[in-house]
Amino acid sequence: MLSSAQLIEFANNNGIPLWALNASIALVMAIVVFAICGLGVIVFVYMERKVSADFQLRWGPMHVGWHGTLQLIADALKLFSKEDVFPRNADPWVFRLAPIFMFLPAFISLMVMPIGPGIVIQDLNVGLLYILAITSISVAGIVMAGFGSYNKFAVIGSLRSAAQMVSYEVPRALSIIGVVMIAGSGKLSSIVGAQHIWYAILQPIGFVVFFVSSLAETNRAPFDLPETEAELVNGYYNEYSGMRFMFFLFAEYIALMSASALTVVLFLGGWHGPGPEFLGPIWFLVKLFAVIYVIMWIRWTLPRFRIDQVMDLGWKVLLPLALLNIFITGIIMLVI
Amino acid sequence: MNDIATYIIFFGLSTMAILSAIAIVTRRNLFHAAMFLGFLMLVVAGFYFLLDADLVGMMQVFVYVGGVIVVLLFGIMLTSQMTNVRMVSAMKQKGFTFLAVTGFVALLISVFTKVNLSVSTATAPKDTTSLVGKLFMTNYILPFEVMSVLLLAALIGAIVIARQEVKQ
Repeated sequence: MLSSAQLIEFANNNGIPLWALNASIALVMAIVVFAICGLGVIVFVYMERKVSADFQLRWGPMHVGWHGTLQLIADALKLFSKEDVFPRNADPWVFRLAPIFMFLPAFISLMVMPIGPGIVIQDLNVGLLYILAITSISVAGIVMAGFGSYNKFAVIGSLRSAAQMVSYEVPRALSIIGVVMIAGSGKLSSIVGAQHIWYAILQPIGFVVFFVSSLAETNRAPFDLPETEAELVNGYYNEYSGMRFMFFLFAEYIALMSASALTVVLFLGGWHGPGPEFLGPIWFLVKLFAVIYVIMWIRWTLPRFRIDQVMDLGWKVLLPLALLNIFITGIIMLVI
Repeated sequence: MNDIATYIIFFGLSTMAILSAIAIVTRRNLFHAAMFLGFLMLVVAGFYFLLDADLVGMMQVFVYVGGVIVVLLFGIMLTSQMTNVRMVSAMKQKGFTFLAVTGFVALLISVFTKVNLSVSTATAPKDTTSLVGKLFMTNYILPFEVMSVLLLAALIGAIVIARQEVKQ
C-alpha cells in the first residue's frame, strides 16, 4: 500500500519527491494506527469490565453515561490529572523509557496485519518473522521497568515475566511453523489467501499451542504471574502511577489486540467469510472480538498458575507438542 | 528509494551505531551498557534492511535483541547485587582488556588495508527467504543439519537440567 500506483502518479505530476511521499504516508499511517489503538483500548477495557461483571453476576460500570460507557473517559481524565510519582532511588532514564519499550513493539506489530484483501499497511515478505522478532523486544521493556523502579517486587515480577516470555516464545514460534509449511509463505496476506479451510481445523495441535503461548506472552491470566496483585503488588509496574501507569495498561491491551489479530490471521481464516469480498474487514473484526472475548472468558474463569507450573507447562508440554505438530504436518504433507 | 534518502539513512544509522558503541564501553552502569548494546543491535538490523536483506535483519532482531540481550539482562539481574540500580563495573583486568583490544584493532586495520572491498552493482534479490531456504536444503545441507542437531541437543539438555532440579 505504501507504493500504490495512483499515489506515485500523483506525486510525479505535482513534483513531490518519492521519499517525501513515502515519509508522509508512513506518518499518516502511524497516526491512523495510533488512533485505532486508542479506540480499541477504550472498547477492550469497557468490554473487559462488562465481561468480568457478567461472570461474577454484577452489573459493572453503570453510572457514567449509558451503561457506564463514559466511565473510561472519566478514568483516563483521573489518571491524567494525577501526580507523577517518581521513586527517589529509581534510575531516571530506564524508569521513563520502560513504558515506551513496552508499548512500541505491540504497536508496530499491527503494521503488517492484513485486515482485508489488499488492505495492509506494509505487506512484508517476512511478516510472520517480523511479528515474532518485534514482540520479543517487549521483554526488554518489562525488565527495564522492573530494574529501573528500585523495588524488590518489581524486580521479582520482571524476572518472572522475562523467564516466562523467553520460554513461551519457543513453543509459540515452533507452533507457527506448521502453518508456514502448509501455506508455503511467511507473508501474512498469502497465508490468509491460502486459507480456504481454517488452519485451526487443519492444525489443531498447533492452534492450541499457539493460543496458550500467546496468553503467556501477553501476560494474561492464567499466566499473569508478573503482576500477581496478592503476592507481588502488581509486579513490574508497582512504582508507576498516573500517566505512566496508564501507558502500561495501554501497552497491555494493544499487545492483546495484536496477539488476537495474529491468531485470526494465522488460524481463523483472516478476512475470509460468507458474502462479498468487501465484507472482509468486518469478518476480521468479528473474529477479532470473538478471540478477545474467549481470552477474557479464560481470564475470569481460571485461577492463576504457580510459576513452576507455568515453566513446566511451557517446556514439558507445549514444546514437545509443537515439535510433534511439525513432525505430523511434515509426514502428512509428504504422503498427500 | 532514491540515493539521497539512502545516504541520509545510512549516515544517520552509522552515527547512532558509533555513538551507542562508544556509550557501551564508557557507561560504568552495567544495565545501561546492556541497553545500549541492545540499541546497537537494532541499528545493525537497520543496516540490513537498508541493504534489502529482510530475512537477515529480522534474524538480527529476533536472535540478538530478543534473545541475547534479554539473557544478558537476566544475567545482570540474577547477580548477587540484583536490586542495586547503581551497580557499576569494577574495571578489573584493565591490562588484559587493553592488550586484547589493541590486538583486535591491529588485526582489523591489517585486514581492511589488505582486502580490496568491491561494491556489487547487481540488484538485490526480492524474496530472500526462499533463496536462503533453497540454499540451506541444497548447497549447505550438511552444516545446516549439524547445526540443527547441535541446537536440538542444547534444547534437550535444558529440559534434562530443569527436570533434575525438580527431583531434588
